[in-house]
This record gives sequence, C-alpha cells and structure tokens, in this order.
Amino acid sequence: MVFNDINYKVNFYEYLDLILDGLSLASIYFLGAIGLAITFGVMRVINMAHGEFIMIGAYTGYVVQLFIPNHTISLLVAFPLAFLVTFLGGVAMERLVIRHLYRNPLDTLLATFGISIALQQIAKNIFGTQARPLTSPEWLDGALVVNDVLSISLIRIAIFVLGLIFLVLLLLVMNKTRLGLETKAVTQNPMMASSMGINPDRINMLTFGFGSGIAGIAGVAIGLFSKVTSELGADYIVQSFMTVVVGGVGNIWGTLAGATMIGMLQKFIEWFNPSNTLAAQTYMIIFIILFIQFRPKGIMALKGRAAED
Amino acid sequence: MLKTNEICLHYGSSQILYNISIEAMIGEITCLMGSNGVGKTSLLKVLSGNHPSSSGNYILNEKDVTNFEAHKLASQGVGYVPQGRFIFPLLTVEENLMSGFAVLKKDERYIPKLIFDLFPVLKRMLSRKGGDLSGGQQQQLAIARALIMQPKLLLLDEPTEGIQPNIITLIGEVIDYLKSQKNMAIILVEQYFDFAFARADHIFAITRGEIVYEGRKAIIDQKKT
Repeated sequence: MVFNDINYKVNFYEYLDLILDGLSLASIYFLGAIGLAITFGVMRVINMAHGEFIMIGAYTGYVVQLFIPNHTISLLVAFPLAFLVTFLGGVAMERLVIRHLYRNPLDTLLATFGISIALQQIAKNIFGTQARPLTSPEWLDGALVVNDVLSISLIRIAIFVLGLIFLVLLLLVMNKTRLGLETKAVTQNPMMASSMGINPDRINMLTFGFGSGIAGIAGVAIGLFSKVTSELGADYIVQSFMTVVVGGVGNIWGTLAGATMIGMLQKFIEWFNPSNTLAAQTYMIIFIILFIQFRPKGIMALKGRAAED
Repeated sequence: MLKTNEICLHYGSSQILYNISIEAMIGEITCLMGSNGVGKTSLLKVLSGNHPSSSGNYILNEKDVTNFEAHKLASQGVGYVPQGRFIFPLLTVEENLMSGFAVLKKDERYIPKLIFDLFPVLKRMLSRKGGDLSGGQQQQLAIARALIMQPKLLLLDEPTEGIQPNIITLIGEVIDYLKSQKNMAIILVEQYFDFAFARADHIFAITRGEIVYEGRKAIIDQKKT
C-alpha cells in the first residue's frame, strides 16, 4: 500500500516535471516564432533569415557581457539593446531587399535565405566558429526544488515569465494601440487600408522591425542556456516555422497554441525515446504532416463569414 | 474642386481609359454613367490613388496630385467607398470606423454623433465583426467609414449594387443630406439610372473608356420640356 502510494506520487511528479519542461520549451518557441508569425501574417513574407536575428540577439548579449562584467546589469542592458539592434536590422532588410520583392513570394524566400547564409558567415568571420558563452546571472543558476523528483531550474522559470510578458505586451499592442489597429487593417486589406490614409509601407517596415526585434530578445533568452554560435538561429528556425504552421498564420493565440503543442510534443517524444534525438525529430515531423492534413489552416483557423474570402 | 486633364490608364498593354477630362464641384453630385466594363471603376481607382494613370493630370483643390499614393490622397481629403465595399472583415464595426482616424489630428479622433444619426444600425453593431455584417449593413459601414475622414471629395462606386430597396432609399437620403451640407464634392458611379439621374448635378457618360457625353442636369431637364 505504502509503496503504491509512493510510486503514484513519484509518477505524478515525473509527469509534472515533463509538463513544466514542455512549457518552458514552449515559451522559447513562442518567442522565436511570434515575430515570424507577425511578419508572415501582415506581409505574406516568409523570412528565412528570422533565425539569424535570433543569433544576432544572442551575440549582442555576449558582446554586452564583454563590456559590462556584472551579469545582472548586462542582462538588463542586453534585452533592450538586442531588440534595438535586430529591430534596425529588420528595418534595413525590409527597406533594402524585401520592399522590392513583394510581388513575388518566391523571390523573398530565396533572398531571405541568401541573407541568412550571409549573416551566418559574417558572424563566423567576426566571432569565429568557437561557441561563445552568454552567462546568466548567479541568481538564475539555482533551481526551485520541490522534492527529489521535481526541481525546476530558475532560468526556465525566467524564460517562461519572459514569454508571458511578451504575450501580454503583444496583445496590448495589437488590441489597444493605433499601431495595432493599422497593422490589422493592412493585414486584412492593404489597398483599402491605404485608402483610409494608412501608409502600408510604414506599417510593413515597423512590422518587420518589430518581428525581428522580438527574435533578438528570444536570442538573448536562448543564449542564456545554450552556447552562442553562428548556427544558433538555424537550430531554432525549423521549430519556429512548425509553430507558425501548426498554430495558424498571423494570430497571437494561434502561435501560443502552436508553441505549446510543439514544445510539449518534443518533450514527450524525448521522454519516450531519450537516446535518439534524430528519431524524435522524425516522429515530430511525421506528426505535424498528419496534423496539417486534418487542420490545414492550423489550430486557430479563422471562422465565420470573414474566413470565406 | 476636382479636375482631370486627359487621363489615360493602361492595364499592362491594354488601354482602358482614353483622355478622360472631368470635373466635380463642392456641393454637387457628379455622376459617371455607363454600362459594365467601360472603365468607371478604373477611373475611380485613379482618383483614389489605387492605380497610377499612364498620362494626364489630376488636380485636387488646385494642387497637382497626379499619381499620388492612396494614403496621400486620403490625407488630401479623398474618401473612397469602393465597389465590393472592402470592409475589414476581422475588425469590429467600431475599429473599421476608427481606421479612418489616420488622416485626422489627434483631437479630432472620435466618431461623431452624425454617423449614427445617418446610419442608426451601426450603433447597435459597434462590437460586431465587419465580416459578419449583411451586405446592406456593410455598405452603410463603408460610407460611414469614408465620412469619418471628413472628406472633401467622396468617391462612391455603385453604392446600391446588390442592396435591398429600403437600404437604397436610406443611402439616397444620406447622399442628399451630404450634398445639402455643401462641404464636399461627390462623385457617384452608378448603374441604377433612376437613382443616379434623380440626384445628379453634372453627368458624364462613358463608353469604352471615353467620355461620350457631358451635360449639366439643369440643361438636360430644360431640353426635355
């Protein structure tokens, strides 16, 4: 009886541990994918270089630490600075490249893919192929120990909180501000938005900058628990795309649902099959292909008259 | 108020409009008439900045605005009610109306009571999604949305198309009211002849992309008697 009881409790905490692990991974995918979802939703541009903005964000965090040795302060500087750097990078990319290729989605796909490779090489030239550390402050090193089975590292909690902050922030921007309203209008009908006096070029530029900026923030967060390399972004871009596709395009809640699903799924598959990561990825992709067959527009597909365009 | 000189328009290599010269005055309703596919909507696309003309000038308020982008024309006071209405389907009725605030100064950004006096149905629908409205309600919203911008030139493209008779009456009354205020020029594209002819001050008839007839209503009436 007693043994059963203990077993039951151990199992319960193991599942809880798995779910919490999945949630923190989901927060990362959410941060990585939301910028992509916004730019794709508003501009119908598939930005293959989105991962490189994650990488630039992580390197920004690393460079800040070279100048500011205190890890807490450097992190507080790194987040806004990473946003600023990648925001400007995104705006520059939109103005110089994307803007001229709107008419043909395939062109933007190829162009952004080329930029992605170029940015990786530039990062290699500047920082070398060796992984660079982005050290988290000491107060994030510990773990919240509930008992012997369940302990959550503080850094995962911090990333979860960061994800929540951005969820709330984005919902506020999209639903309560003039910029959000104009962005939604341009998304739904760029020609009519223009006739209402909204400058679509300005909205596209800001959206692209904003999406890239959030990728930069995600980059600092990711850098805190993994090594910063020039391939950092490429490692996350596939999951970010899967998140957008599964969640449904151009929808914050959809991205949240997609990230939660992909994050959980990955953790569960890893749990069943801990030794073989390649197999785990294969299972995941098979699952997503099947999922898309049944819900081609993602979890949060549009409903009602508006969807029948 | 508005004047075009010899405007031409091409879609690719095919020419749609030939040397269109029209004018429209404040406080008047200028009607563009003609059957399907003669280029009425294309002309409104030029006037609203949604398609560039290939030659000719477009003068608005004594200012040359030829081939200005749509959002610049909107801030010059052009309100556009397009054929097919183009309501933002996922924005609420209120947000649809607010989309016109872009051209207004900060302290003018509110929805005037007049809008709901003209279109009472919109008041009850404020929080509904634009895409869930019926065709007649969407048409009223499209006109209201253009009025929010306090336009000096209102372009109406087939406002009665596919609309039930009592709403057509309402839209007619609104157009008459706007004319009586004498603060905007109205260009009306219509195939519903009686609707357009009854309230026109100045008529242009278009056939195959050319103006084939121009006349003031008062003179046409004289000739009839």
